[in-house]
This record gives sequence, structure tokens and C-alpha cells, in this order.
Amino acid sequence: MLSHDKKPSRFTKNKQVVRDLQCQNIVQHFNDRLGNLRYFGLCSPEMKDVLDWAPLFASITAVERGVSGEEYRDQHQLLLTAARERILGKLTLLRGDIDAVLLSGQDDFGKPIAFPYDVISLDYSGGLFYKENKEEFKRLKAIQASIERQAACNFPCLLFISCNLDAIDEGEVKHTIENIRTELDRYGWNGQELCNAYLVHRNPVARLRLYVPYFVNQVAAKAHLACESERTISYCGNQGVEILNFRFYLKPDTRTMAPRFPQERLSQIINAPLIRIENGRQLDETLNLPKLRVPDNIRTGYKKVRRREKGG
Amino acid sequence: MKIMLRRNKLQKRHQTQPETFVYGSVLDALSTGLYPDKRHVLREFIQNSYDALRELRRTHRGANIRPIEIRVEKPSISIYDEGIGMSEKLMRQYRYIGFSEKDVSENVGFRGIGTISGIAVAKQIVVTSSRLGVPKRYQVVIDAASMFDKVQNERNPPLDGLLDQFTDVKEDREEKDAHYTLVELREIREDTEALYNVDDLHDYLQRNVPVPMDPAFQYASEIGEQLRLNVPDFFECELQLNRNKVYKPFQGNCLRPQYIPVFFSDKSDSGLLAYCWYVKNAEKGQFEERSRSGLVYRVKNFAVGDGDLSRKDLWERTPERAFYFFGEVHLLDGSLKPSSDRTNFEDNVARSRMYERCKRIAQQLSREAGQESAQRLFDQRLSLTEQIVQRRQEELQQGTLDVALKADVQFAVRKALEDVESRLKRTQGKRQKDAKDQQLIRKGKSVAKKAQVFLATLEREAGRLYDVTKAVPMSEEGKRLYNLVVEVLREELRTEQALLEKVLHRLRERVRDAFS
Repeated sequence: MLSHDKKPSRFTKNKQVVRDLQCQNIVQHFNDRLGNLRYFGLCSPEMKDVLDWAPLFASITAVERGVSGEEYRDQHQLLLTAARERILGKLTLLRGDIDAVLLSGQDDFGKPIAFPYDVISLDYSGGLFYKENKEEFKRLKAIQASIERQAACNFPCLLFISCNLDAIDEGEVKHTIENIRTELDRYGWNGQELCNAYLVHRNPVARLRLYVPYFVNQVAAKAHLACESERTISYCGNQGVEILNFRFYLKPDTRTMAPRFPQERLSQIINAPLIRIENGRQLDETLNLPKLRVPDNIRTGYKKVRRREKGG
Repeated sequence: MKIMLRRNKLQKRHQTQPETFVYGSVLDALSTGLYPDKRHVLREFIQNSYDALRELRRTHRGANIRPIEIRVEKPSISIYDEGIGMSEKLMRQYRYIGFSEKDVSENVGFRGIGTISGIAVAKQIVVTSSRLGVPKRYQVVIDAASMFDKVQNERNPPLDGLLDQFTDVKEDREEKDAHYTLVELREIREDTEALYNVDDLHDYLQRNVPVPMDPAFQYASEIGEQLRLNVPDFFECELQLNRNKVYKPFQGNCLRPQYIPVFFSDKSDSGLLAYCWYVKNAEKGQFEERSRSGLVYRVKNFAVGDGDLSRKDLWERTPERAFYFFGEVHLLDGSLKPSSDRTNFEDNVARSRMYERCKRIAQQLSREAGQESAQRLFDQRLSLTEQIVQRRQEELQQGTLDVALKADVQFAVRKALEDVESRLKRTQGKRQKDAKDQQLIRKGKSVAKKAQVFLATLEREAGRLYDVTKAVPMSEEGKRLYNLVVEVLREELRTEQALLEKVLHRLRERVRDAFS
């Protein structure tokens, strides 16, 4: 169905697997609207992120900042790519830093972002803990803003986030994991043992794969969105850089005025193994982290709730 | 001595530094000054696209001609084509002013000032192009905002330096078979933001650029076929504005198209100067939508002026008839040069010749319009006469036609009959009679006959007329008085026949009621 089935891949073997998984998510959630979807994201001047999927989308909103002082070059290149690929008509180009655009709701020239979107793809080339003025987690706030703006439109969407392990703010991550420990302890689960394992793990991937889904879940819940997290993907990108990829399906949940606790259980986030992609093959990866042991009676209770939710 | 030294110094300086002949302020004159309507600036770039596509078609027969795409979206306007593309030489010349090696007979643009006009509307112009067969692409960047800033801040610096400092050409690798040009007019200036009005731009483009006829127009394919057949090197290409296809405008309620070839002279072997197609309003008079009416000049299928231009130039008499039609006059004389803003032609011998020769188009159209108008009027008169005769005939049969109205009715029918007979004679006397004429002659004869029969019947059967003084018992004095009143009424209301009839009818009824 998609053009990449026929053409040689634009991506490395590993990245192509990630793309396929993301595409599966799109088809799974929006099967009846394929061809009419709206895309928002960082698709690069070559529009790699979106070209293969272009037939799925009726509109593509691309954000491009360009190199400082010569912003026009990358932005012009993006227009050229779109024109050559016959998708210029679908394209809306927002010019500026994606985080600033998401936070302000408009680009450097005052063009507004037209939420809602069906697919929001934040394919960052750096880490998530980027700080502009040493205080603000601008990127995280931007992710939060995108979720809130989407929620305001009361529309479901898929949120894809890619990042590397640059400049992880260990303090922020540690405090968040401490909060998780408190929460787990409150329920009498093995929070101490589990969180310690995460905190002392030598691979920062362990902590990020917990932190990011937890962050998105909390923000989504606060914005009245139910969040379904797909398994986190880790792979080795260009020049040996370790990349993490997160996929979330967010759907409106406005049954009550007061925000609900995240519907997704912590155990689902913690216990789901990573997908490790090596040489284009998917492997389950636990990083030797302990699982969250949910007492039997609680599990049963959860099952009852799940059955009730499913109408069983 | 000092003066001599100083003079020598100055002379030396002149010898080492070339004199400057052109200064920065000319930029303003060549951009904003030349195009008061900023949409013309955009048209200049579209002209380049068409020239590139035309060259592609000429040099690569069978090449796939893709639509030109225009994307209008703040803060920029992009124009993309997959024409032949520009070589390095052309891209470097892109920065020159008034330099063009384009052959005027083969291209729409030829002055070499069109591209620089972009600085009138955008703060920056970025052009990327790759020529078919050249494995490279070139990018020209013109920093218009900085150029104008410098002209203002440095009291009119030399133009060469400005162009050198604020324009740039870069090259990069590209696939050999790639061929395209993308022009991006970045950051449209505040005073020209009207260009963002997509509806307005759509309207402008459909009236001015060589887009195909709207397929919804019933004669689109026929006209297209005739143009391809009769206009050498006729070229049209689809254009999309923000994903919407742009077509030439048309007016729905029209008759079948007609064609007029105009030659350079009356000699049989003289070449074709112009080829005109037109359609006539199927209804009476002018088309409702004035902006889409009249004949529009086209050079290389680009419009020059609008319907008003040909109306002014070609219609010496009855100019209102110009808008009974819409169509195009494709001009094929290479010496005809449109003005920079393409609202008229340069005043030269070719223009005078074109006006002189093309006046025959207006004459023919005027004649047609006059004939059509006369036919319509004749038809109306026939219907009216027929109605009058029929009504009076019925009244006479029913005995309701008042004797007091006899003279008026006779006068009205005779007058109508005279009018019919005179129009009938004119139509019968025409050298070339069309189907409508034949139909009118048949109908005219029949109506005239009916009118004559009625007049004879009225004379013969005057006893059938209704006379209230005989219908009711009335004294002689009463009769005299009634006749006097009728006579006064006829005198006073002789110009208002309908009112007279109404009053007489009421009077008659009242008299009848009173006396019976």
C-alpha cells in the first residue's frame, strides 16, 4: 500500500523497522480515514519522515527552523522537496523552532498551528531535556503543549517522539522515579526494589523508557486524554548514536470534569519489555530490570475492571 | 599649481576607477514603479515558467508537461514548474537587470526585468533550478530587503555593487534527468500583502495566463482544437493555485463559437496576423458579467489588457456591442510588443497595423450584433401585433369591442401592420438570410395577413361593435350626452389607450346598469 514497499528505503535498516511499526499504528488506529489524515511534525528538509506516508495524509504541516542566519535554505529545500514529490499543495510550512512553535501556537511569521492533527511526529535530533534558559525544559513543555492543544480540540491522535540520550537531566529523571516509587509504595508494591534498579542502572535508556511514558501519561490525563503507550523502541542510529522512540495513542476522555488518574497502569509501562532493533531485527530487551509485581488480589481487581470496561 | 595637481589627481582616480553609470534608486523604478498592480510581478515569474515548459516541449517532443504549481501561504509565495530548467549561465544572468537573451518570437518574457521585479513584493527571492541533462542545480538568492536598506541608508550607492553584495549563486549536485525551477518570494512586503488574497489571485490568473479552458464550458474542447489547429506554436498548460486548478473563465448562456482569421493584408498569400474566436450571448444584449465579456488580446496565449482594451481600440461605433460577446484575439505578429505590465502594446507600426486589420473583427461582430438585435426586435413586434389582432378579433366575435374604440383599434392595428410590413420588406431584401430570417419572414407574412383580415372584418362587420346607446333604452338627449362624454374622454386620454379603455368600459357598465 505504501510507496516504501516498492522503492528502496530512505532510512537505515533499523530506522525502517521503527517506521514500519509507526505505520502499523497509523493503520491500526485510523484505518477508516487513510488518505484524509493530518500530519504535524519535524520531517526535515528532505521530508524523509513523511514522504512514504504522504498518500495517507490530506494535509502535512511541517516545521522547519533552518540553520541560524540562513534559515531560508532548509525551508526552501523543504518546499522544493514537496514540489518535486507532488505534495506542495498538501504542505503547510511553519517556519521556526518546533518547541517555540508548539509553545506559542504560531510560527516565526505569526502563522498559527491548526490543531487537531492525527499524527504528531516529534522526531528530535537531540535529547528531550533541552533547556533554553537553564530553567525551562522547553522541549518537554512543548510536548506538553502539543498534548494540551490536541486535547482542546477533543480529537484522538498518535504521538511519536524520537530523541537521543543527550544532556539527560538526571535530577529531573531521578525525582520523577522517586515520585513513582512513592506511588508504588503507597499501594504496597515493590516500589523500593524496582525504582532502585532503575536509578542505579548504568544505561540511561532504562530511566528514559520509564520517564517519558510516565510523563506523557500524566500530562495526557491532566488534559482529559486517555493514553495508550506502545512499547518503547531503542536502536542505534546514524554514527552510532543511541535513539529512543516512543509511540502513544491519545484519545479524548471527558467523562468527568476532574481529571482522572491515567487509565494505563504503571505495571503496563514498567513491565513491557523494550523493543531493541539490531540489524533490522526486533528483539525483546528487559535491560535486566525487575518487573513490577502486582499482588494477586489487585491483579484480579484490575481484570474485573478491564472486563467491565470492555463490556464483558 | 595646486589646482593643477588636484586636477591631475582626479584624472588619475578616474583612470583607475571605472565611472558609475547606474545607481541603486533605479531598482525602485524598475520594480515598484513598473508594476503598480503587484499581481503583474507574479505573472512575470509565471511567464518564465511557461517559457521553460514551452522550451521543454519544443526540445523534447512527448515530454510530460506537468502543471505549474503556485503555493500562496504566508509568509511566502512559491512558483514551481518542471520546465527545461535553467543552466548556470542563465542562473547567473538571473541577477542581471535588463539582460535577456530570450528570443522574442519564442518566449513570452524578453526584457530581462521581470525577475528583478520580484524585489518589489518580497524581502528575499530564492530561486533553485536544475536544467535537464545537467547533473547540477543552482540557487540564486536575492536579498531585496538589505538592498533597499542600503539604497536608503547610503544615499543611493552604485547598482553593480548592490547586486554583487546582496545576490548570491550557489551550486549543488543533482540528478542528470532532473529539470525544475522553484521560485520562492519570501516574506511578502507589508504593502503588497494583497497578493495573499487567493481568490483575487485566482481571478487574475484565469484571465491572464495560458491555462486551458474550463472543461465545464461546453465549447472548451472545440475552441481548444481550433486554436491548436490555427495558432502556430499554441501552448497552454495547467496551473494549480493552492491545489485548485485554474481555468480560463467563461459565460454560460452563449451560442456556438465562431472564428475569424485576420491576415496581414487582403492578398491571398499574406500570413495570419491574428486568429479570433468568439461566442455571442444567447440572451438579449450584453453578457451580465462585464469582467468576463469582450474580446481579449492574447500574445503567446498570455492576455494583454482586458475586454475593455479591444473595445476601445477596435469598436469605433456601437462600442456597447463589444460586450455582447466574449472571446480571444490571438496575435501572431512577432513585432507586437506588450508593455511591461501587459495592459497594452508598445506604440509602433505593428500595433497600428494590428488595430487597422483587426477592426474587421469588430465590424463583423457589430454587424452580427446589429442583425441579431433587429431580428429580436422584429420577432417582438410580430408577437405583439399577433396578440393585438387576436385580442381584438375575439372582442369583435364576442360583441364586446366598443364602438367608441373602433377608430383607435383600427389605428393601432394599421400602425403595427405598417411596422411589420416594413421590417418584412427589409428582411426579405437582405442578401444573406439565415434560418432566423427565414423564420421571421414566414411569421411576418402570416401576422400581416391576419392583421389585414381583421381590418377588413372590422370594416365589414361594424354592426358587431357594442354600442351602449343602442343596447339600453336611452333618450336622444341621453345619447348625445353619453357621446359627448366619450368624445371628451378620447381627446383627453388619447395618449393613454389602456386607461381610456378602462374608463370607457366602466362608463359603459354604469350607463347600462342605470338605464336597464
